Parts: sequence; C-alpha cells; structure tokens
Amino acid sequence: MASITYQKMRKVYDDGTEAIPGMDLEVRDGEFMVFVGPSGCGKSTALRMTAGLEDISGGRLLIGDQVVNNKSPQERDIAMVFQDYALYPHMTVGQNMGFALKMMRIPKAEIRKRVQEAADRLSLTALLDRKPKNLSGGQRQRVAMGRAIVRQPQAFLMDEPLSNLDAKLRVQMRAEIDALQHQLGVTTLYVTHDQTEAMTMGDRVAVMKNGRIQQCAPPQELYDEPANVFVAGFIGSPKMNLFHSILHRDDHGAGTLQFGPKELALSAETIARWPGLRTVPDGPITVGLRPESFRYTPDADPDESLDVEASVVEMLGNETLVHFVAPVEQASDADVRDRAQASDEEESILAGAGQTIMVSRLVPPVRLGEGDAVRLTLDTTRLYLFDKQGDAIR
Amino acid sequence: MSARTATASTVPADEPPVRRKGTGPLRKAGNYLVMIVITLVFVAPILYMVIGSFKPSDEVLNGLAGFLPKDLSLDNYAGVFDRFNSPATGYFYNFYLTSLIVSVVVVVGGLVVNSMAAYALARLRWRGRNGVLLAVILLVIVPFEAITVPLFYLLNDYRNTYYVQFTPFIAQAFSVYLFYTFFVGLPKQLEEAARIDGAGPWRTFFYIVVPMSKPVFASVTILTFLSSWGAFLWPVMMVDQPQFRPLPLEISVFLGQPPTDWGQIFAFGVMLVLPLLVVFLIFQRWFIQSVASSGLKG
Repeated sequence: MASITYQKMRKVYDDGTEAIPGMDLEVRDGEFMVFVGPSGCGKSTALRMTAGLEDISGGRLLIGDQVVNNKSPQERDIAMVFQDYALYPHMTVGQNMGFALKMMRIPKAEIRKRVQEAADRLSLTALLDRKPKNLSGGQRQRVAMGRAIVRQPQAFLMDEPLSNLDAKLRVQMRAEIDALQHQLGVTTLYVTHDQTEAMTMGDRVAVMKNGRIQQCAPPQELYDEPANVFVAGFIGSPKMNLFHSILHRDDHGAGTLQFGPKELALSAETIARWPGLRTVPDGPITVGLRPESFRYTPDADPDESLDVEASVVEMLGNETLVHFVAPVEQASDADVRDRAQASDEEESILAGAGQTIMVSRLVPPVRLGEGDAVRLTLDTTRLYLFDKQGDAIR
Repeated sequence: MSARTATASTVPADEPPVRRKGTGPLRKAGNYLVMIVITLVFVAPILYMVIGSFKPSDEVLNGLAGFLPKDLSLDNYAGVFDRFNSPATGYFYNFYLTSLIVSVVVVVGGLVVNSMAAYALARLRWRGRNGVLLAVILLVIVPFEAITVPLFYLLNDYRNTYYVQFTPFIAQAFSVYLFYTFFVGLPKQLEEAARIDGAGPWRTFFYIVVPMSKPVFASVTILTFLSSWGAFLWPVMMVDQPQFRPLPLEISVFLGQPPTDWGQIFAFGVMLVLPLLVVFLIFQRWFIQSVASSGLKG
C-alpha cells in the first residue's frame, strides 16, 4: 500500500489541448479517493496517467516516495478495473485472475493459491472454469475485481466500474467494493460521474471541472460547505437551487436578500455566521438553497413565507419533491463567471428579473397535486452565499 | 390433447391464420430447387473430376455419361505414381513434398511476419508509421506479375531451390492489410489491461491479441495456402529440376506428355485439390466468421 501524490501534474495532447492544467493532490495511504465530475472534466485522464496508460506532460506523480512519471504500468505496481471490465474473452475466470501473476513469473502453485483465495472472497469459486461470455454483468464485475486483488498491488484504480450494471446491482456492488476496500486497506482511486457513488463510497471526493480539482473533501463537507458555485450545483440530488440576488445590510448588522419582489430577512446573528461577508460589499450576490431548506407551512404568516404553485409533484414515499416557479433569476457556474465582469448596476437589474424552477424537499411527505397552491417558509440559516467570482463566502 | 385445444382456442375463428412470407411448402421447394441448381453449377466440375479419376480414360470423355459412376477403380491413381517414378520424370511424392514445404513455410512464415507487422502498424507508435501503412496499401494493388522480372534478377542465383520458391511470398501486403484492419477493430482496453497486468508488447501480442484473432488468422491461412499451393508462374521461371518442381507445374507437364490419359490427369487433379480441401475444412469456421464480420467478400 502507498500514497499517491500529484505535484503540478499536467496533460497536454499532441494537438495542444490541455486536459489537465496542473493537478496537486495527495491521496493518503489506504484512502478511498473518488474523482467525480461531468464528462470531459479530466477525471479519467488523471486516472489513466496514474496507471501509466497516458504520458505525463509535466509535473510529478509519486506512488509512495517514488517518482513514477516514466515508469511502465507494471513497474508502478497498481491494478485497474475498467469500465467494460476488459476481461480476456479467450481465458477462463481463473486464467483471467491469474494472468498478472503469470506475467510476474510467480510459480503456478502460488498463482493457484492466490486465485483461489480471491475467488473465495468474491464468491467466484464455482465460476473459475467459465469463460467471461458465460457470466452475468455482476459476475464479470466481480472477476474484474478479483483480477485486481490477486495482485496485492500498491493501489487500485477503478474507472467507472459500475456504470454498466443495472440500478439494483449497482447499489449492491457499490457496497461490496466499499467493504472490500476497507477490508484490504488498499489505496483506491475511483472515477465516476455519479455523485451518489462518489458520496457513498469515498473517504474523500475530488470534484473536477475542466481538468482542475474544484474541491477535495469528505462527502459531508462537500455537501455542507461547497467551495464554489460549481461544487454547490454538482453535489446534491435534487441539486441546490442557485439564484442571483442583491444583499442589503443595515446599521445594526442585520440585512436582507432580494428574492424577486420579496425580501428575505437576515438577522444580525445569521449574518455573523459568515465572517467572510464582512469584506463583501452590499450588492449583487449569488445565493444557494438546498431543497430541504424549504418547509411546508400552510398556516404561516404570508409576509414571512413564500406562496407558490406546484408545477411538478414527486411523491417518493418518505418525502415529497415540489417543483415550482420562483420569481428569481437562476444562477449557474457558467453565468456567475460571465457576470463577474458586469457592473453592479447591470447586475442589480438582472437579479431582479427572471424566473427559475426551484425544487423543495418536504419531509415528512405532504400529499399535494400539480397546480396546488403551496406556502413555504425558508430557513435562512441554511443559505449558501457566493461572491462575484462564484467562490463561497464563509 | 389439452395443449392442442388450448392453442386452438387462442386463435379467433373469424381471423384467417397469418402465414409468414416465404414459409409455404411450394415456396420452400422452389427455394431449395434454386439452391440445388446453383450448387450443382459450382460442384459439377469437381464432381466430374472426382468421379472421372476412378474411371478409365475413354469413359471419362463420354459426355454426360461420364458422370455416372460405374467400374470404379484406383488404377488412375496408381498410374500417376507409375508415370512419375524415375529420376528423369521426377517422383510424384517429391512434387507433393515440394508443394507442401513451400506452402507450409509461406503460410507459417507469413502468419508470423505479416501479423506482427500489422500489429506494429495498428497499435505501436513509431516515426514513419503512416508512411509505411500507405506503402502497404499501395503494394496491395501491385500484381505479382509486375515485379517478377526484378525478382527474377534478384534471386537468379537461387534457382532450383525451395528457398527461391517461398522467400518472395512470406511478406504479403494483402495479408498485412487484412491483419491491420482486424487489429484496429479490437478493443484497446484489453491490451491496456494486459499492460497493467505486466505484459509488454510481445506478450500482449502473443497472449492476448493472437488468441482473439482466430478469424483473421484462419482467413490469411486459407488465402495464402490457396495462392501458394497453386503457384505456377514463379516456379515456371525459377525451377526446372524435377526434384524442386511443385505440383501445379507438374500437372501442366503431364498435360503436354503423350499419351494423354484423362483418367490419370483427373486423379492428379484430385490429389492436387485434396490438401486445399483439408485446409479449408479445418479453418472454415473462423474464415466464415471473418468474412461475415469484416465484410471481406470476393
């Protein structure tokens, strides 16, 4: 087992495309690190560079205390599980699992022993003589895992290994991989575009965009304290409601946030929770609201609540998701950065206009129908604030 | 009984049974008739040769009656061996041996050399790869006849050897091209997995790529064996001593030698074709797979 350290690691393709501009990260020994992000964010490229399947254009990659930039995949002593499993179709399950050991010229008896142990661990013993084409998706996935663990490598690299499984099997395998990793204690890099996988499996999760790590933190921290608008919008399902607003503060330290024609009152105590707000002037600001920040309060004072019409209602048994049109302009990572150049006056005009669809999560569930009038109250202590650059204000 | 009743009851009485197009007995018979006629057109000459090889010469040329198998014997086969049984005429088994040695070396050598060249072109990164690939593609369209004269001068010192008969045919642009197109279509992930598992390019090729490429290896084996076993022009130019003459050359000599015995010529023909049939039967399963998957036709 070993740590994996990226020091300004870069990837530039022959055509000049910069896939990874400079990556700095340390994956600790035995840690389960998940790279998550949208398609094309560079997560698979980073993993393939770690495996030695892609050249490193600059910077350093260390496995343990050794720089491995120019080492072959074999010399790096890592094992990889591919998205399509990449099982050798002409070999049996046992031969697939023992192939790496055979390449290492390990004696046959030892290969048999290690394959048998791995097969027992993964409930593959009865399948050792079968060819991959005679296995189900879940069994193939297990074989791919078995092929990785028999090597007893320094690290596991997994490239979206569950994406070809159906939803039910994915949940089961997610738990199995997680349990196996903790049992073996092998440093693991796991790439996925599925935030649920990332949040449930990783000790830490690195959220990537355009080849850069936006934030690397334990799952709960990512959810509770997103570093910027991108992470805030990416992590969480349903995703965070983000909108443009205007901040006003009075002389007593209290203030308001514009929410369409209404104003959300912020007490001095609430504002004091964001020390970073002291350096932010009044004016345009980006606000984030998790769906669970709304409460269903049919008897609340209309002045202190929000009357909306449910456009879509999703009854999920343990909760109800209500979609509604809010009189605010939606904010996203892209437009926050675009509007960073706009003047405050322009921003104020834009922030007061527009409509956006918001989602509220109502727990306990409420029986509602589409078109129903719904009165909601906002928990202003659970707001997220972002500056003009889209970075979180804390 | 109950099953039949149940099935019948599921079909509404007022709806006529739906008959799928092309499944009626008449249509089926028609289809078979067409297929039998087409098959006969292809098979008739071979059948004629095989039956004729077991009959006396005068019966062989008896028009359609020559097809009817009667008074069959192995005399023609014995006659072939008798006629080629002296140092002057050469020995029949020697012609066979020459054809076999040349074809086996061309096929085996060709499989090794051409597949490895194609793998290097398809998967390895090296300077000048695109230029070499272009040259290979261009060479596919150059007929062998166009390069026989320069080859003749190049290899003139090696006339009347096995070496001269197989050397020019081991490296074949067409075989390289066939392998190349197949290898390019193989999923890269398997080779990447092999690299991660510690296999270098050689072991990846032999342990992973070759076992997955049976169809293309079968195709190249059949096509190469076919052309090598039937080689005529090159042996005519380079071989005149009987002990180095291959079968196709000898059957032409046989045709020109009086008295012309058609029964024996047919027997010679059967023995000439037999190894081709064996090779095809062994490799046909993968060959058909390859033709079906690669669109290689004609």
